[in-house]
Amino acid sequence: MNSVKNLIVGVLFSLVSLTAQAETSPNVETGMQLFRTAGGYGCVACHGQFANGAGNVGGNIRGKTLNDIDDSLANEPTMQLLASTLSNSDRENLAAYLEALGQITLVEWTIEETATSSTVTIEADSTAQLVVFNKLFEPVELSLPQLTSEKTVQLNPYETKAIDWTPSKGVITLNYNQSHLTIDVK
Amino acid sequence: MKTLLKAITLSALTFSFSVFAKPTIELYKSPTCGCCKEWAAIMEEKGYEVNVHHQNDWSSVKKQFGMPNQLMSCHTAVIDGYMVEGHVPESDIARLLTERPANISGLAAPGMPQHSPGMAAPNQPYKDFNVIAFDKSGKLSLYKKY
Repeated sequence: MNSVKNLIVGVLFSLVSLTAQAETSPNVETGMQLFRTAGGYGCVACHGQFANGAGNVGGNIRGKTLNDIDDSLANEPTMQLLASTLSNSDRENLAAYLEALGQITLVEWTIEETATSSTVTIEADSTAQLVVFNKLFEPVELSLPQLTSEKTVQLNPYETKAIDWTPSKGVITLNYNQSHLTIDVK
Repeated sequence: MKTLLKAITLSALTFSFSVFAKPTIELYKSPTCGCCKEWAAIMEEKGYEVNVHHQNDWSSVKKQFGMPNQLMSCHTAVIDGYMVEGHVPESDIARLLTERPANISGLAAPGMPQHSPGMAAPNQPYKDFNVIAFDKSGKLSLYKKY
């Protein structure tokens, strides 16, 4: 009885997802959602919250294409089990999201206990994304007037957030206690 | 006399099991993840029994222990009243089960650290990740730095 119920639920679910895909594919927003949920744990588990790698085994996959996704699902031993759960339109949506991220300049900043200082150089007037990771065990409140109109950006312990902005020429310095990042916009 | 001997043998056996037998691990993982089984194999090698539960959603398990989302990895283990998320080394779990701290509900190795058990190549040192302790209210602290 249970298996019949499961079958019906499964068929209904596939119909719903087919309809949804037909309407929206390929779609960056749908791809982003899938990136966070595929397989139950999401691509984020191995590739970082914003496909930036973030020290995880899968590395940075921003800018990867549908071909790359198909190839990894077919050949990477840790990804092969996922292959049967991702339809063609799922893969197209994921590719749309990754390709969109590939168009954006990535700037990474980790706020941590030890003193850090680094400088990155980026281009003016093309969209950039700051991915900031709070590696402290306390909440962090940042003021980023050159990046966002939000008064402050709050990060819980071990939380990662992304802020998209269009940089203008000049130098942006980000500081929190001993963590420093200089963004040189050329 | 024989009965007495049997009783002694039996109680000695029970005693040694309760002292030396390692607890069973209830492991919740997605059927599509290929790396959790590497971690499970290491734990089995160290003498734990691992019961695998293939599920697509086990957030209710994590909720009981208060783990915040940002510590998420691909699998969740429940061991002797504690929760262990992701690729946490066995030595930290052994310490947890020996010390049995009352102020934490579990440990996590967030994400999929490249040089963690089940991820690192065999016989390579574990490095470049933190094992984080959390309590039921979601408060975090450093348990061990690799």
